Amino acid sequence: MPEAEADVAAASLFGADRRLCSADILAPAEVRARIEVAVLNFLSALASPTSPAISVLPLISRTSANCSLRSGLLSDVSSVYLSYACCKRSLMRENNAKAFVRVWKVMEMCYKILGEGKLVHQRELFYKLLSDSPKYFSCQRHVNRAIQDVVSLLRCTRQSLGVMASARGALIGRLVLHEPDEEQIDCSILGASGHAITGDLNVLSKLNLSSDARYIIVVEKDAIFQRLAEDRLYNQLPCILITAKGYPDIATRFILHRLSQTFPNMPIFALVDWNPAGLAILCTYKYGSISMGLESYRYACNVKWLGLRGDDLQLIPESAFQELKPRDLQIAKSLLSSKFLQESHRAELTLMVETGKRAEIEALYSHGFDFLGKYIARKIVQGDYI
Amino acid sequence: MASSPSASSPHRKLLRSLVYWAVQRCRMSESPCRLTVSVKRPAEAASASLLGVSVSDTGVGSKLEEFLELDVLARETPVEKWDGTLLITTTGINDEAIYRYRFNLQEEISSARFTKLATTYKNHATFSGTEVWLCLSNEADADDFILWLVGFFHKILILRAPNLACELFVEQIGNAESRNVCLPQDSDDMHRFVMASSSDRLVSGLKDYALSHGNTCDKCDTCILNRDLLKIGTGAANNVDRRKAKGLHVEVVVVIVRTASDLSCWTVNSSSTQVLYFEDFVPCPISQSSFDVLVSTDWRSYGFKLKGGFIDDEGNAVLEWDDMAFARVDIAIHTYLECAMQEGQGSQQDRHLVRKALKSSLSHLKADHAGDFLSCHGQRVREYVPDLAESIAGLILSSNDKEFQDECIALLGLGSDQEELVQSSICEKMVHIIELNDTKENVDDNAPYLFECEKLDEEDGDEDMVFDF
Repeated sequence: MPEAEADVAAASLFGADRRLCSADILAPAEVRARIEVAVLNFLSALASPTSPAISVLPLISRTSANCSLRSGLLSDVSSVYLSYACCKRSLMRENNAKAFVRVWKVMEMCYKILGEGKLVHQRELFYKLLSDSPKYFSCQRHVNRAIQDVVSLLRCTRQSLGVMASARGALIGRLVLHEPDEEQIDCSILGASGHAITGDLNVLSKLNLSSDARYIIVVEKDAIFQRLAEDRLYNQLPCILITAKGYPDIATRFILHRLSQTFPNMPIFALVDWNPAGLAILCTYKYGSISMGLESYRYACNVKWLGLRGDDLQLIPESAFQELKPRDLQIAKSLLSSKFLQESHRAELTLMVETGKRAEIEALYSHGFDFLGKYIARKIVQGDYI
Repeated sequence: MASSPSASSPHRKLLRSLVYWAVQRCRMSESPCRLTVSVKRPAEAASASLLGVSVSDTGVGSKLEEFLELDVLARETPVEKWDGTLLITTTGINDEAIYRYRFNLQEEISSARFTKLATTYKNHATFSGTEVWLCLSNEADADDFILWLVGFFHKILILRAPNLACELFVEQIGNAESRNVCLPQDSDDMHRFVMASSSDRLVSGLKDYALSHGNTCDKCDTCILNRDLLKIGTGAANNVDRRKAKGLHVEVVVVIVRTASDLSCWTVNSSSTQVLYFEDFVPCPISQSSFDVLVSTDWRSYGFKLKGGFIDDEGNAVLEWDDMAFARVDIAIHTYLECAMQEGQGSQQDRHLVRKALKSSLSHLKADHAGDFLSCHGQRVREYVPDLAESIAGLILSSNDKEFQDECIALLGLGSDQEELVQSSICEKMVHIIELNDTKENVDDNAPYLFECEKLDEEDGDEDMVFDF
């Protein structure tokens, strides 16, 4: 793309939008500096001669009220982003106090981690905090939330804090990966579990990518991914298969985004179950997430919904349908009230809710184990995606 | 005089009334007075069980009107318990004679209810006083009654009313050696307090009460030595109109003993408090309005957890505590009219003044001993402080940026060689702030932000993102 065009493209997504609040990607020294400022501010308030006080933490609100959708001008990528509204986290409020202390405990841990030049997994961090402060951290969720609180307090990315999420994703297909100073990895000759995507975004950003695929296919579930990998779908249909084995983590979305930037002419198709959770997964790839809204807006991609969709239900035997559960309905309600759902997707979701039914991709196997590959190929060729 | 809804034995009600009026007559006299109650109980072998009780005082002479109030009580009391007879001997300071009367309050015929008896001339002697003599039928509870009477007297002594000496005698008929002076004890040094205010005297009395474990034992030696560990709060309120020389005073004193594992009397946490309630210098059943004030007070903002309260059979308010850090909590409420025997003001005034005095006494406690009477909310927040201080100190001390460390240490007001004090310094400062702001309104709104923040949202909703959207 000519440079001027690229600039405008960048401007339309990032620069023009002054309401967008972003987490910076910073070097360890810079993050440590921000933490030091936090400590100094806290101590100044504590030691103030006239009005000593325990400072309140302003955290960017990760709520639907503070989120908006923005669309690119020159590209068809839209993303969800957070604005500057903050909520107060105070030690003096009883139900806030523990969460308040957790933020400091995580900051202390990250400060030390960065000082040692390390990068740790969220899971490792959990065990360390569990053993040091079991009163405050009794489950992984406490740790993850506290980390996001620190991200929204210091406004820097999670990886900048020295923490990464454990890798869940995998990819396979017509793609050659080349890490600097490492061997090349030909992803078309791997075993059915594919190439595991590292959680380290730095490493992912330095990968050289080369491919002759025509499509990228995002698969919701690992079982489907492996089925397609075993059948070597990518030899019949030139594609790259990628999965996060459920709800997408940042690393998987990062690499997907890199693929879409490196190969702008490769459309991205999603293969998800026909239920609200499947659509929610697609939306996360497509728009980003609110809980990590300060950084996830960077990795939104234009993902198209290939299947399963309402039109495909005729292919599925009646017996394969299941009832929508209360949780499914909760997710549906959330999606329907969101700001970004496009019309065609809304119609699909409404159909799900009205029929009260859901179906898994595996239901297509009723037509034979090789049906899925043919189904995918047919849909792509017919341009049957929304 | 207030009456308690719960039934108290008629004997006790009677004695309370007689003592009450005797005390008021003493108050009205402006010179030092003596109140004496004497009980004569039958010899052990006697089958007839009558207690002869006499209540006498050296206050102003009685106008007899007050005894008519006993009419109702007389009618409620079975004749077997009290025959309704009172023998009253009284004289005023300016009277030439000592007058004697007999009341027969159980009598139906009006002319027989009141009889004037022989008069004795004083021959120019100047004194005043009243003696009331009555006979109570014993039943089986003479011991209980005497025990109660002793307790009642102990309570009167808590007030240390100036210019009033109180004595209690219990004697067995036919046995001269059995005449016991029950009260006061030699060790009661009441004369120290002649010049002190009524409130100070109540404080002293309540302290001794606490140190003798609620008058259940003689003064405990261990406790006496640790007198200084008692924490006191006092409050007073009144609506006195000096010009008209009338009005109501309310004084409240709270005495707290902290649990101390090294002092054997105070190792166990208290679970309930029997509130001492006095009206016009006499222990009384608690008024409903005062009881309501006690149970509706916001105890939590002083660190007390009230489980509930009730009025026991004797008309005492009992407050029950939950999970307390104190070995003893003693509360005394004293309401009295500026002038004795005056018309009361009504319970609305009472309630307002009692609430004001109680609040004032608790605030006094808190002001003097901030850390001990932190509100329940403050206590919970304070629990997190050590961990928070440890975290921040850990962060500072782990840094290899000397400049940053030095700046932190300087901010805390420490010297460069006092690194090991960083954590405790942060801890102390936070506790100090929590204590300072305890029960202040809107503290949170004025607290500074750690970083500048462009726009404030509402509550920290921490929206549980169902699948994030």
